Amino acid sequence: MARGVFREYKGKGLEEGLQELWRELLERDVVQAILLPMEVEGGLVAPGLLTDAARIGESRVVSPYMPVNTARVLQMMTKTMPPSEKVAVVLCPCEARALVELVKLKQISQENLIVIAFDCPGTYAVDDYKKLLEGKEDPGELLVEKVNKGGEDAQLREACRTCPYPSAPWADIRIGFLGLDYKKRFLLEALTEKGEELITGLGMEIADVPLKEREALLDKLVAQRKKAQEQLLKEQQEQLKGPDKLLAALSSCIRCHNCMTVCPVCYCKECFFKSPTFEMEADRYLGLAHKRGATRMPSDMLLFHLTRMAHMAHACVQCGMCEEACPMGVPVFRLFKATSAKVQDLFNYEPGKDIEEEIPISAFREEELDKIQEPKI
Amino acid sequence: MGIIKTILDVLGLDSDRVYLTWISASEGPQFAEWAKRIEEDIKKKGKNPLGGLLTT
Repeated sequence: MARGVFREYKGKGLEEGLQELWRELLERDVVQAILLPMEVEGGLVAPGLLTDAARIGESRVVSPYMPVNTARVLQMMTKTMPPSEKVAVVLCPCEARALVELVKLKQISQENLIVIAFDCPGTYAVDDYKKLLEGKEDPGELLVEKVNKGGEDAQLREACRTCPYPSAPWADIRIGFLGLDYKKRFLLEALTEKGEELITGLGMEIADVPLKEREALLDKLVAQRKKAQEQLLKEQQEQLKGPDKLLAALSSCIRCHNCMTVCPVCYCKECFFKSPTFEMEADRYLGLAHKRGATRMPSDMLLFHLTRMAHMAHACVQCGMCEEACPMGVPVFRLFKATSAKVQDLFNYEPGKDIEEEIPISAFREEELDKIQEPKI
Repeated sequence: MGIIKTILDVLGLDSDRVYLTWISASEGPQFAEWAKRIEEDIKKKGKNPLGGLLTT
């Protein structure tokens, strides 16, 4: 059961059905702008801030490609000053989950934002997506159909193949098209008051809607994804564990910091790696070399990744943008997925699940994890 | 600390080389005791396996 409404549409495809919704939101002045995936020059997709209903046809929400985690865009947009007009932000689940974490960290202001999270069957890496675009059929609609039939696409990004959140755990509104008769209608599900206001603003009435088939399909998909996740964690333990294997995996790292730049939850304005700590004079490098006989230049690959993990593991939403941005093929996602899964287990914390829940590292508990501390002498 | 030790364990780096204990400024003997204990532990463990590697 859910609180919401089905939206019937007569368009040719799901994308057009959704476009009717966006058009109505703008035309009825329910919101004044929509941040959503749009087709850019050459056919790829990127987040676009849309205010003119005449350009709705350029929106591409069903497109299975994700160039950036849009939560990062929202941080950039709202941190200095929230918008003065209402903006609907249309996100896939890992973006909505990153948004939840950034709201908790006071990096995104929810003022005048309405978060709409759509079902995500998965996304492709940029080169794979470009190839799919050359095909006759729309890769987005094909994927939705495949996943709706219980299938899985082995070509999806590893982050998506192992993602147990095809539907976002938190949003103001969820848009559902998995496990539903998606060629005729999709679901608008209100999870918050803001969400309910949006639906009533469209002149639609909210009711209890039964979702048995949808829940069954999502459960099955989540189980499949969790199995793939277990397999990944097992492979990490076999292939990337221990000093030799780990350093072999990190050896191609050039410390370009791309993984850090694209990470939605890596938010510090004053970054440790851009601090004077790393502005070392030549003699400090010589000192390191003398101590060990030789030192790699530039140095601190392991330190860089370990520090990022220590800072981010509890909040990592496992969107895999880090690995997409890596030009050197470092398995950054695998390493982050494996470490963050265990750290999140330790605190029994699921990032992005609940916007009211405290972040484990900023919540004070008098007694916590005592086993980890050394006993008193 | 929980985070750091968990990460090191997953990556297969020796988390027992990292210590956390709280010692007040008035607890000199405890401080000395910990220094001794850590020294003994590390001597037993031997050289840091990451010591000679370049990508660190």
